[in-house]
Amino acid sequence: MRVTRLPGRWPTAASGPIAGLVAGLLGVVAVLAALILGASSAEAAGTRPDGTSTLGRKELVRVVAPGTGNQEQGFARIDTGAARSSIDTDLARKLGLDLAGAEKLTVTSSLGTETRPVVRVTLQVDGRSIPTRVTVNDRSDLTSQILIGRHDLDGFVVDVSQTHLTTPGGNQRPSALSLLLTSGPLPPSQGALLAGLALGATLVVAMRQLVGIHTFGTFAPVLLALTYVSTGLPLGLLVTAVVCGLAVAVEPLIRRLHLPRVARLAVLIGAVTMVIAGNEALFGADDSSVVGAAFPVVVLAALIERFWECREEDGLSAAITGWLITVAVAVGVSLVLVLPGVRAVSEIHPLQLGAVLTGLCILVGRYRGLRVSEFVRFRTVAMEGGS
Amino acid sequence: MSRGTGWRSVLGMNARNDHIERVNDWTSVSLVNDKVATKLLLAAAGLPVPPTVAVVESRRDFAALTVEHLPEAWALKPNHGRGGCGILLAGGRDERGWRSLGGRLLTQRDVLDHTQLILHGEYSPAGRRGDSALVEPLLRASEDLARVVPSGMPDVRVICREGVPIAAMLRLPTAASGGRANLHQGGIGAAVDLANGRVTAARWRRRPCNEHPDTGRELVGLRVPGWDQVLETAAACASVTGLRYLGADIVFDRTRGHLVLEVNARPGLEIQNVQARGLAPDLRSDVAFRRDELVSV
Repeated sequence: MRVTRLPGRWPTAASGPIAGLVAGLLGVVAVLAALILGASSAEAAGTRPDGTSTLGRKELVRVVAPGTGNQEQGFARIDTGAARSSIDTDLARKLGLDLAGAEKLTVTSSLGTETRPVVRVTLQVDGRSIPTRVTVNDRSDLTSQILIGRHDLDGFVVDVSQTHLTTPGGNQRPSALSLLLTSGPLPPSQGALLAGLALGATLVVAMRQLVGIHTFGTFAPVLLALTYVSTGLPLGLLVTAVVCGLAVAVEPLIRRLHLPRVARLAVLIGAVTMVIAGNEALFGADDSSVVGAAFPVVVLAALIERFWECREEDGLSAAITGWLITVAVAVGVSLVLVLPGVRAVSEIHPLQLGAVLTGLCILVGRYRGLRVSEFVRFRTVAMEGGS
Repeated sequence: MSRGTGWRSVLGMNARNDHIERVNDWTSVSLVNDKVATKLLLAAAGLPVPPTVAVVESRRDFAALTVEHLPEAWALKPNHGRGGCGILLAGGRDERGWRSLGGRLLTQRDVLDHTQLILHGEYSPAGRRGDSALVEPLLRASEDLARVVPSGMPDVRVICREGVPIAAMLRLPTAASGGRANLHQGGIGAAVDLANGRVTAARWRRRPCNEHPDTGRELVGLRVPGWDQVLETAAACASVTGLRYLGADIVFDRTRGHLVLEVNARPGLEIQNVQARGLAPDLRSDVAFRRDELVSV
């Protein structure tokens, strides 16, 4: 039998399908690993020989009230432009600090002059305990409840191109999961956002071409993943679940209106917006701006539309499976996006990362062998076939 | 002939897409996505297709959808529909309109609403602005096949490569598939021997099955009526449409005989499981050689 093969193509099924697939998957994993490892060795993270260690512009820290031992953890802005550290009034109350009886200090900032209470606390940053005095003011409009000024930054070097390099307890990088599980928002920088899109798209292509996992709306999981990075996983998943649950509940109502597709999508967008606004009322003002700004309302509405379509064509269980797969891929992508190495590379070398990922997408797109799922789907053909 | 065996014989989605993209001309693909245009072309070449009662392009054509203008029993389809979606079937008249096959009342209003959805592109692939609706008389399965299924229309899918049939399966609706023959919607796939049109094995819901789960009729040994004509018609679909890789769906009507219902430029891969045989060797093998083998059997 003549076997025709075009030169310069990926191995077809003819030349060992399993070997080809394994090579493809290993390739993707290797490139990702190289990115992450290369990043961590390239950057100057961790403790240096002279005992200083590096902080990003935003870090997870702990504030301890000295008398009671009460403590609160949160993301702090590391600000070398400020002299003194400062915490939010609400946070000070939660710690049980006496604000009325506290000494007052007149502070001059870029906003003018004001009088603030000063309290004694211990800051825990990157494994160090720093007993200090911080001012208390209303930071509820700002993104972090804690600001750490240069008085308390002795022995640290600040790298403003990075964030989330340390944990309060020890000299250890926060894990992707722990970052996503804290409710504190992690707004990505412009460069990280762009790189995140490219990285997410590459993962989606690899899932489809190599693994055989199809998601609703090809790149919808990437946009959902960026959302989860901004809102944190618990809140992001909660809002997704509530929106989707309600959408399924109101489907018969919207169907009965006999609207054309475009009008129905517009109604859905309105409904999703209302649900998110409702969530804001439920979960307080803290998260509202984050959720409202971050959630890709149009993407969610389109996902709901796909769910309806799939349910009509292939049944409810297929539709639910499709939806779960989509959200699972989004969660996976968001975990990859907050990996410290990935964040570092995407902020430091966005251009190179984009180039590598584009090349990887082309390679994956040219893979012509069997997908992982097809080794399950066609196993009887391979066992009995050709006889 | 030494066929590739094991995993080498399995045609995967990536390889299929690559093959289709290389051999199937874009104009041919967009032709077969348009049911009305395809029927006109096939009919002009002398191939049997279902009659067309009306093509509704806009609200102005709604007059065609009245009790006087429609036959007793009809099928209303989106012209660019896929996978049997958006098809409305009427089995007979009622004093207030028509009755669906399940006996549900279909008023004039229901029919117009459904047509409106079709015209808005509800059942057409995303990216299309709108669609037209197509009315055909309702087809009824030939008696020998109608005995096997509880309801619905069995069809035979023939995969042709370079105008040569390389695989065929009979698709049978079940109660679970709601009259549709599509495998992923719960239809039965039965492997058909290309040489004689006999069913050699059948699969339902990813498991082998020997008889129809609803009617209990034996499936293995079942004969596809007019097999030589079926093969000739499927092969002719290739030359008429210009598709070098296609799946022709052929039905067997009680009065009209076999008819080409649809031509697919991207036929699915499940037929490999139905036949317990991979398609990859057929895509790699020499065309003339396969033709010889077919003739010699």
